[in-house]
Amino acid sequence: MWDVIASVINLGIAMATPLALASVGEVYSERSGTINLGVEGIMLMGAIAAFHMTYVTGDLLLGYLAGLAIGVIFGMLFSFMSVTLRLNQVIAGMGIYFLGFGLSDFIYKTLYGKEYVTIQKPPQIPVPGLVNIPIIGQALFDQYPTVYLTYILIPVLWYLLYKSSIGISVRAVGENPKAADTMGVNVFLVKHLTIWFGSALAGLAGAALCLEITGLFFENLTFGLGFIAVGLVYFGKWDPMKAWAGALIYGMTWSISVTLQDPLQKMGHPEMVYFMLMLPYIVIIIALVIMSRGARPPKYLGVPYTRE
Amino acid sequence: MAIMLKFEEREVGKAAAILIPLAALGLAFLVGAFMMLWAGVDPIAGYTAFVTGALGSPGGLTDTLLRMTPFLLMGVGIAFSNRAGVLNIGAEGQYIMGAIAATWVTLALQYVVPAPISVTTAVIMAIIVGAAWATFAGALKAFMGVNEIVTTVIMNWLALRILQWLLRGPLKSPTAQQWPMSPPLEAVYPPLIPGTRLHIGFLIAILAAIASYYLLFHTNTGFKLRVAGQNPAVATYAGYKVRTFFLLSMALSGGLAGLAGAGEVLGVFKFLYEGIAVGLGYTAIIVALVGKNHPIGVIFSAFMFGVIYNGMTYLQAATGLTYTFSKALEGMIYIFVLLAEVLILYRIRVIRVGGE
Repeated sequence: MWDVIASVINLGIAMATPLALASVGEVYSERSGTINLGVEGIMLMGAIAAFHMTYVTGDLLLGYLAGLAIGVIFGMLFSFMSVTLRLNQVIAGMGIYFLGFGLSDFIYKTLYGKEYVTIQKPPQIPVPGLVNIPIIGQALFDQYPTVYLTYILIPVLWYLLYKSSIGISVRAVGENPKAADTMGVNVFLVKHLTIWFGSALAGLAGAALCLEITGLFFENLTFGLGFIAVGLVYFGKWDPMKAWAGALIYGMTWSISVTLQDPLQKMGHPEMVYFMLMLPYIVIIIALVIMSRGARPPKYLGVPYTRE
Repeated sequence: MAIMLKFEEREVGKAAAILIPLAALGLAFLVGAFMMLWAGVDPIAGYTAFVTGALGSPGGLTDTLLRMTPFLLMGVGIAFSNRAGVLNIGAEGQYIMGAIAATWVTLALQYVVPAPISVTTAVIMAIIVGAAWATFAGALKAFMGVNEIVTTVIMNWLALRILQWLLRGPLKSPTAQQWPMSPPLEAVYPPLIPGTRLHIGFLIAILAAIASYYLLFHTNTGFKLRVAGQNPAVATYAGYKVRTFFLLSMALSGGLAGLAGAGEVLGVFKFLYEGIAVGLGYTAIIVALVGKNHPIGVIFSAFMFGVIYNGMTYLQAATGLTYTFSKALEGMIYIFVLLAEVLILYRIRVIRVGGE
């Protein structure tokens, strides 16, 4: 029994990780005033880039880096549209989603045909010592590489956002760009950089999803995760740690649903597998309603900045 | 020393306003040609199949009108909400829920009551369910302050999961072999032109667009709705109930998307399966954009996207590419059209700002 619980938590954390990465990236982008709805598309591009790179070179690290790199490229495209050209952010973001959705699968089918090709997943790495703690060890410290990355990265990003001068600049640009500009903050630069950073994490999130969770690429691999990542920013009230908590809630719900699939199948209810897959979406909507009541977004979220 | 872009608003002629989006379209197709070359297929053969398929024969043309029908309904709906200042990106989910409702009602009624009653009930239920799906997100925003962009888009995926579950459970056809699907629907839309696939849903869509135009531009409600969207502060000052118009626009928008869903199952496929959910609701966002959020403009842009969608099926058949190629090309079109918008609205100057 404890073994099952530990493995459910283990799987939940693994699943929460891509979501958490994409979500904290979006926190930074929104803190400087830009809502990026293209996260889903960027995740898909990150997934195909990572998959192909790993398949060709056999090197997982290069795969992760390819995901990051394609994220930055798409971030540049998005920031050019939303910051430089001042297009409606929601519409521009949907454009990025579209492009990523179609292009990722088009690239896959051109390179690999219609067959599913699998790659060797990275091993789960146990942390010596910590892994021996009952339940917690197995759940938290026998994990994939990017899971450990989130353990360090997200608290650091929280610290940077609230306690460092970089964070003050980012938040100032989202709250009052004109004042920030007067204070000598390069508003455009901050906006571009946070979008690139957020997109890079979205690309990495796609890479993690593809390399660690599925081990193969298929059309629409993310199934709305990128949009949920944006939702978690509102759930977490633009706080990286709280967004992470939201990702863990989703991950746990998903993990429980997936774990229950097997017994349900054995009981002769295969359709219930799909019923269970609805639950994470319902849970996340309920969580959003409870948590984001009266949430106050950055004051200039969605408003393009112009220096006039 | 920094380089900055300066935007100056400008007026452009009608010709430029039409030519620039067409140029954007051409550019996207050019990129598409390079993609086809990379995929090892002949772009000329592909585009030839595209044009002759979509426009080259009466049957092709009626199929184009068939394909434009959901875009028209959802595009008009999205134009509605855009005018009221809400961006409804949940059309996809509202469309799926409408299709589910229409299927469910038809399966329950088709052998019980005469076909016209079954069809009418199914359509009404589809509109109600689509409207409810949208208004739920709208109400969360209006009464609890939950961001509607986030909820509508997550509800799109929830709708897709509901569809997947129902097709394997309560709505499953006992004889389904290859992919999960519902039993066949018998009480369906009659054809508009006998001998073609074009059904009366097309006529309904055109009428809906005209009615929407009238409501938006020739009634008091429409005027207030537009004011509420353009300037909520003024609307509040004038005593308009902004929240009511917000919810009304969501309901109308969702209802039209639900109607579009009903049209696809009752008019085109005559059964329900996962293939109805191919992102038409997302495409409708750009249909509304190209149509300048004007119901009559949306008729033309929906036709344009009908041509693209119908042509793409022929292109896919001729080249062996899958629908994700069309989706990628659509992404290009989306982005190039957006960039063209900027060119139309603004004169852009590169200016150099001296060292500070």
